[in-house]
Amino acid sequence: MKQSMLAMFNRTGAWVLLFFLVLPALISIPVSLTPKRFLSMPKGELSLRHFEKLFTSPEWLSSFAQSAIIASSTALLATILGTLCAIGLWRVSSKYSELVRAFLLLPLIIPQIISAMAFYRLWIPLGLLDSYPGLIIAHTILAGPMVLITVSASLANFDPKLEQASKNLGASNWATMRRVILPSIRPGVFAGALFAFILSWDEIVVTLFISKFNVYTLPRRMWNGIRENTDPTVAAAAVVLIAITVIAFGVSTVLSRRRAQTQND
Amino acid sequence: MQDKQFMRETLVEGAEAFKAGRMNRRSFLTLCAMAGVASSAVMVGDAEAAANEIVMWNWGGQSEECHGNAIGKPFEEATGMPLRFDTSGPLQGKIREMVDSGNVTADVCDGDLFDAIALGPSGHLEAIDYDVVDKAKTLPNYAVEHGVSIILYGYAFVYDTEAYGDTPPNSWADFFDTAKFPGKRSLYKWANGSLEAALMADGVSKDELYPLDMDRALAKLVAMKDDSLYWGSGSEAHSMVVNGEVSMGMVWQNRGRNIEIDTDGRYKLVMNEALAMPGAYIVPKGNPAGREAIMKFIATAQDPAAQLQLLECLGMTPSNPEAFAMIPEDQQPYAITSAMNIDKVAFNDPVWWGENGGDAVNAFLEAIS
Amino acid sequence: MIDSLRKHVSPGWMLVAPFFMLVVVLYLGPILNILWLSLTDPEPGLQNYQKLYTNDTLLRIIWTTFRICLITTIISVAFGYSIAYAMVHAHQKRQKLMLTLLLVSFWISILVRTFSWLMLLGHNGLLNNALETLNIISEPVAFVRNELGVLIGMVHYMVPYAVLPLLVNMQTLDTRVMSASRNLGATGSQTFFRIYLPLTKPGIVAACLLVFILSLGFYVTPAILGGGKVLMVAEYISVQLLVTLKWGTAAMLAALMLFGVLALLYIMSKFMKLSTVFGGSTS
Repeated sequence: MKQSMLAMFNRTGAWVLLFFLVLPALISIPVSLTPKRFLSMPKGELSLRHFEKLFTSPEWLSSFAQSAIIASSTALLATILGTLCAIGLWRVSSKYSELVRAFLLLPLIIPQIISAMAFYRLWIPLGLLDSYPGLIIAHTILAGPMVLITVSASLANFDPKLEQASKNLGASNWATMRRVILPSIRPGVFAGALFAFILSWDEIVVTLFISKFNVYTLPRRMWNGIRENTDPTVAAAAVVLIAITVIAFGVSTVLSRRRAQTQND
Repeated sequence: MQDKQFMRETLVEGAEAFKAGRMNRRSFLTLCAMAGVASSAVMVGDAEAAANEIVMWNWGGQSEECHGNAIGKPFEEATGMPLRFDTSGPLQGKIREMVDSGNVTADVCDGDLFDAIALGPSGHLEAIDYDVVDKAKTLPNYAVEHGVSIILYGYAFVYDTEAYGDTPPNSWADFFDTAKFPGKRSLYKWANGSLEAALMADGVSKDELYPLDMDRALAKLVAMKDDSLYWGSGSEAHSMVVNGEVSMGMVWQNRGRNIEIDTDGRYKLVMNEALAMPGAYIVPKGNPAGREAIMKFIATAQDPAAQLQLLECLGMTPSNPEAFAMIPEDQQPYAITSAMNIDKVAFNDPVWWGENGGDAVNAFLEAIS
Repeated sequence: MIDSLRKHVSPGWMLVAPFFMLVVVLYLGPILNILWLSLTDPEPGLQNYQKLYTNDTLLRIIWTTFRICLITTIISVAFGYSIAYAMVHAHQKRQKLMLTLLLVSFWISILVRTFSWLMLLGHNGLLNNALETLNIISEPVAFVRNELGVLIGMVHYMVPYAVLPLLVNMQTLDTRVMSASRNLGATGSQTFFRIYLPLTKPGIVAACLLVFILSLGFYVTPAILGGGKVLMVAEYISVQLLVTLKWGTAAMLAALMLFGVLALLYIMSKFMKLSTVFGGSTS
């Protein structure tokens, strides 16, 4: 398809914007190598001490692991619940479903500090304070609406006649969902899962209220001592995550190239 | 639930047996240890509540290490109770919510003395036991019903020697004089310190600050608004100075020395007219380790040796008058209660701040936003 | 009985039930409890709401918040649309690269981002130093510690949240409609404005909604990048809850935010059939 002038102009613009997006990430690379014990650009000397601290300190490694577990669980739970919810509301599609949809945005609209207090009050009698399930459930409630929004956006262009056709051909509701609907809305589901994961990974306000000793996620570790200084280890952690993402991209590119080659043989 | 009941009954019987002489001390202590309960609490009859450790609620960072070494270690050696830290930050709202919820997880909060005035009357804090804690081991006004000052920190300012090397600023009046000393300023966002500095700059004597004339202070602050930045946490204050964003920056005095080092001496601390703040230990009502244990802990913190260790480690100045003369020479220019500074600083009134702090913060935010 | 239930109640509700119950059982109660404080703390009555009439500051903060969130939403969604459009029309490998770049920016925690912006755009930051060296400016430009800094920080954070809903929507678009339009003689821009753009409306609405709601609750970055001078509602609420202990005011502002967003949704529903926008069947 011939690309119009507009499209080509837009393409350049998009790359510029993407560069703007990754700029802070690029900055964090030299910052992570600063010899000083506070966030700064290294002027002359480079030091690996923050990476050393990140990899050898059991506290940082444990926080990494905790955040990974909690964020993954949140992503899984929120995606399942949110996707089912979005599909359900799409199926119902009435005045009431829109009211319910607006209602379910509540955890996203309410300021986080108030959600934090609400969870704290309820988690105590439920015994969920300072526990993994407690955090996962709280994060799931906060992240669910985001999944709802992205999956709904994906469903918007899904032709309901396809579902109808599938049912007419004899497929059950469940089979239709699994083999017709879900594959089409896969991008929306992945986007939702990603949002849920990032929300949980970065979450600090609620975490500070409902965790005390047992749960010490990465954000808590990063905000520890913020009254005094911002430990450059956070920059090192950021660089590690960037590296993982870039490596994943590299691996995925190599794999797909190899797959394309074997297909051509 | 049956286990708890069983344990409690066993402990109560054990306590009675111990008191009657039928059980020796070692067996009793072992019994208590197995239940994870402090023997002192069992003896008082409160087997259910007391835990065998002290939990300090603070802000983490270096404080954890410093309080741990200076106070935690001696206390553990004396009583066998270790010190643990909850680093999520003891803001007034969180303390209030914790006590209201009935699930008190902290024994002592590392906060401000004005927190004791704000939260004490509403029944959220334990009264300090001044039979165990010594009123004489802190400054005269800084031992109140619900809290006692252990260390002092202050609001002072640093200035850029490269900008003002020849005629260095020396007072808040200089700080607020952007005509004579051009450049940007940074101030504390949560009103404390900034209001007092504004008043001192406007000519109010440092001993006559309270009750604060809010209108006068806010007028002075608003006049300088265009040249001001406001920081909410130590790291922000620090970054504004080391990144050269301000020519004069209000800072917490205990971080002053670090800033001089981190800027390779370019920024210097001015202690004249600094506002001394009593940092205090306050005890949430119903604390897990029990009343007796926590009062002993606070008494340990009053020891001059412990306070001097905190000075070395954190830059926090001792409030125990016995320790003033023992402040090491290299720390004296930076410490609040050293001989060279103690007459130059202004002392905060925790009662005024406890009663009016909330309104003061809101008025301040209104003025600067 | 179950049969008649199934006849009257659409089976879609069964799918909605799990998350709905989760929110109702484990969230709604305490939230209402706290919002109720707006009418009872410190004394029963409407005093907290009356403050909206008497207190200039509250209105100013609300207006500042609304203004910044609106500008952030418009810019973020525009940028997001540009990126999403480019991604959808790119080769697979290019698309993957763009996605990787997007993810990389996503990973960076708020702390790192905020301090990176300070180092880039600050008084003595990389940009100002570069511009001064090239003699383009003689004095450092204030990019941060003001409202501009806040907008930069917020837009930067929100763009990925705008891109993804748009992207997933564009990916499920039937591209044959585009080709048909071109075959019928429409130019590229005509096709875009009259066919493509309207078809992506659900994505645009989802992106706008998500970004606007997220922006309302955002306060860490604005607090630091604004130099403490750009006070937004979410931060003010936090201060009232944690520092000044004026819980009634905090609850009142939170309730106001809630009503504001619901009012927004209501207004939107008057202009478009929300169910189709959010992915309902075209009935």
